Amino acid sequence: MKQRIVWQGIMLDLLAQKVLYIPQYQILVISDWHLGKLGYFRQEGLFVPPMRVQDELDRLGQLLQKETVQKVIFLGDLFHSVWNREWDDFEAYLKQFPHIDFILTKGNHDLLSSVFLKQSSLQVLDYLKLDDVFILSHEPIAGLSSTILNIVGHIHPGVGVNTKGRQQFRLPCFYLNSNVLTLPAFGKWTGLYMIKKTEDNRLFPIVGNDVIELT
Amino acid sequence: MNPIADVWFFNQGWQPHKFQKKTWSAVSKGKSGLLNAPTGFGKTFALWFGVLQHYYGDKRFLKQRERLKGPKLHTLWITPLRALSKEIYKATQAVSADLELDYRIELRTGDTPVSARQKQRKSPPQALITTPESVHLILASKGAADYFKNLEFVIVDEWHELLGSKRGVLIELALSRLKAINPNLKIWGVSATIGNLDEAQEILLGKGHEGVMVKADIQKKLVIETVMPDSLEKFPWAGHLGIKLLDKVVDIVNRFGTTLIFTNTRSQSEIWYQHIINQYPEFAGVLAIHHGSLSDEIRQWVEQSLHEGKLKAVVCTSSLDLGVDFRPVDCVIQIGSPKGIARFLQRAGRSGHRPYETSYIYYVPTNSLEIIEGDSLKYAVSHQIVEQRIPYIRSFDVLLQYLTTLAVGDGFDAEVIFQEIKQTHCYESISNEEFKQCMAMLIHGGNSLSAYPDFHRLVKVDGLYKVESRKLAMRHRLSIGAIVSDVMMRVKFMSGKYLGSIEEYFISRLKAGDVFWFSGRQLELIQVRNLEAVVKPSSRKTGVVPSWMGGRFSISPDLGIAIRHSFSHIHKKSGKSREIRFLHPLFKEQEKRSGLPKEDELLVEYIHTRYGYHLFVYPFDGKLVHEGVAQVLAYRLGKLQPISFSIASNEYGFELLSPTPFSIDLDLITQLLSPAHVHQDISAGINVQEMARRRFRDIAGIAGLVFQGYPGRQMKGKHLQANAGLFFSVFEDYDPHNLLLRQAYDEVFDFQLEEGRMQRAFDRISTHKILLTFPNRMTPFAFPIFSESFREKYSNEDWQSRLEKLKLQLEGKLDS
Repeated sequence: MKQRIVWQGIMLDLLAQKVLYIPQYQILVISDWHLGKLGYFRQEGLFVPPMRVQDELDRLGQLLQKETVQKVIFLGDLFHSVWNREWDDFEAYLKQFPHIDFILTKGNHDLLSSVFLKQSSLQVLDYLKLDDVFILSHEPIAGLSSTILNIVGHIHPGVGVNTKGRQQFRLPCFYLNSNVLTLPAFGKWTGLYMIKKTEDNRLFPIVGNDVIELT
Repeated sequence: MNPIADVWFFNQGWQPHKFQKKTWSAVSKGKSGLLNAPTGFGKTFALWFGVLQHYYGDKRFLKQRERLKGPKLHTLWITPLRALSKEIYKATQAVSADLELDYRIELRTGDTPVSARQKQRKSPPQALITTPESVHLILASKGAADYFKNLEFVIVDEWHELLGSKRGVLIELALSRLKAINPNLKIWGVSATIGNLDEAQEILLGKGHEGVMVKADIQKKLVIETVMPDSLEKFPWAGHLGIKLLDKVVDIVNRFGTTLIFTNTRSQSEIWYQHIINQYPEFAGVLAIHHGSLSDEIRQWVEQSLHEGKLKAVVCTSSLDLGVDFRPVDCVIQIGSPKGIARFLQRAGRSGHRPYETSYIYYVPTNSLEIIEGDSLKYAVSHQIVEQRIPYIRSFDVLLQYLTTLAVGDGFDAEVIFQEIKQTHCYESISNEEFKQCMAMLIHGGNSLSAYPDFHRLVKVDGLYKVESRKLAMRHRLSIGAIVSDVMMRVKFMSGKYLGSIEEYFISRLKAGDVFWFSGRQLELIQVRNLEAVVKPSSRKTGVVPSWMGGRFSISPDLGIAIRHSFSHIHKKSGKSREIRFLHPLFKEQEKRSGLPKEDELLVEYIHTRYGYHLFVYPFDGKLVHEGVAQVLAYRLGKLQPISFSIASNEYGFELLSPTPFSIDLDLITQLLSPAHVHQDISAGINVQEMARRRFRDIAGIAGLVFQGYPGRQMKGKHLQANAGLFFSVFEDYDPHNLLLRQAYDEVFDFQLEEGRMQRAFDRISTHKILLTFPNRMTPFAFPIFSESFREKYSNEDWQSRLEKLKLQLEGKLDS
């Protein structure tokens, strides 16, 4: 079960897979995947086991099968730091989908040298504008008109929910605050930045296979 | 026998104690050993003059000395604290000055400037006074073996304090290396009385290294008094602050010269300091605060003022537990349960420091039931019950750090080092296979089968393993040690004056403009810049108090025994202590609302409140055991119906709280508490994984998986920042047999669950009659447990169905 919100008459689907889908544009938005993170740690001499990259890539593959997708937008922090072999695996994987455009709006962790990026099938932008309705970027852009929804990532939002019997859950969430919609991190090995529910914001935690709005 | 000591003692007009003479004699015979003596009787001199006599009088050594060009390092004196190092430095330096000896002594701690360290390397003094971490830092430098080649003595001060920690393992490892470099090495430990002194000596000296034990037969006089509230009725049932007794505490302070007021946490010390100053403004200027988060500058000022007798009282934490003598202190106050007998005695010993003076300690309970611990403490002290210090074994995290340390230094031969560490208590049981796995982690970044070409840590050069990357070496030197702390934020005024540091997670909860207490001042947060919180003084009335980590100690098993003994006295007709007589009305209330268990009875209460359905059980077995027993009980209940609990516990009992009702009767509860299959139920029922995950935080830090950053500088390699929880998940997923992961689980079973103690608790309970009651509201026993803010979870409902429930609640279909 997904959650649907509407902006300027256009529907946005918040999926439990921690991604955003905009049916009108057939666009899939993915934020903060942080691929290559473990490989980077190993390069720096930390003895973590290597990642099973294929498992991660399959998560993308399943989404591409399920929805009709023309474009995939990575909202930054796609690859954690400089080159390692996990990048090659990722790049090879993208080649399986020649009919899909892959776009990256650059984030603070995307330090991969432009040589690698140019060779890849990725198109790299600072931000992406969809008509006069949406702007997609890694971090919020200041001074936008309030009629434009800025879709961003970067902070890995999460929310703590208390339930009866003094139990607690920490859940990743979509986070809407005035005209900024922040996506949860897609990456498996990422943390959460906890957001508090206020009158002005809307939080959509991912609860198992569902996305539910916190009221 | 010891001419140098004779002269010096004669000049001072002192008579040496018997234990001092014994120690001199043992040292002069070239022996190693352990010295057990109370503070204030000159235990430092007992060893120091042994050392001096060897340097100036030992014939064999003198011959050897002649052949050396210039002075070489003769003695390492290792203490757990920088403050203590300074104290030892002053005392020993004074001897050299008084007797005009050319025996040079220098300090080598984290405070020592780089230039001084370099000088110490080029022209070493005869003695270095240092910390375990600094010794490892020297081992992590080129030419370390050469530097230590002429070392004759290692003295480990306050060994009891190091023994039960991973810093103790650092000592064991350093000694294994130093013994190999110099087979003539004499090793001496200094220890307060603990339950396992003999073992402490064996571990310090290591396998096959003989030694003697010297015990001082000096008893210090100790007076313990419990501070009672005027009326039991107005005293709270729960809580850990103790502010209600503030007036009485101030009365005591006024009766003595200088008082140390010990609290259990740093935040508690801030609260006490604020309350005293607010209610007794005349204390301004003569009351100070001292805890581990304050800047060195502030702490040194407090310590200096204490020495000079300028202060009436200091509110402090364990930061003043150790070592250094403050002569003017003649009274100690302990706020709240000291959680252990040894700690209580140690704090008591901070007063009446001079030989043959009486130590006064006042125990201030923070809630009604805690009053009984006054009775327990006196019982424990009079029966000489003291805790053991349980040493760590098989700490692979420290081993990985040590191997990297050696690789950063001179490099090492794996086989040689393996033989050396096998001589230590900590690693005597590790197998060749396990050592190989450690090496594989450092060489290949995992088990050698999945060798990965982009991994570089250790490289073999001319048969020795070395770290070649300068960046890695630098990072490693900065992370040497076995204390892992949270990310700290520096607290500063606009002007730049530095007050101290607070855990980042606390500051991150504050907004600009919020007011909090720190360093005994009320401060307003102006802004957070990098890792600095900029503040200004504030006079606003309402403040947030820092609630720092730490201080969530559990009571020691030995104090637990003493407390059970006290509770067994409740029903006695006569000979009851003052504490128990005072608590009589509370026990009456407990009896009225529910029941009061006799010594061979176990009380169980089932209470329904607006919070849910509570099951309270009171085995009086200490918090640690209760946590485990509660999980087993929750698991067994869960086998009957799907259910989720939140669990709280304290020293007396535990609580299972469920949002949904469950049925309970005498048969069922008897069955639930059965001693059969405890082991299976622990393994199946306790969320060991979650406990191990928490343990893993320290392990990852020590092993070098999590880099804490460069001191005082913002992390440059922000990309390397990852919390240990992430690494734990990665290992669980991709490398479940990893040694560090296994270590986390072993530590849970050894130190947290204490399976043996749990089994004994179940066995004991099975001989008891169960008293099951259904009170209609909270009881005096129940309330303090219910009020514990820290809770564990238990659920046998799968994640999915718990999420379903959460969903219903979020959708408003289930009232919250």
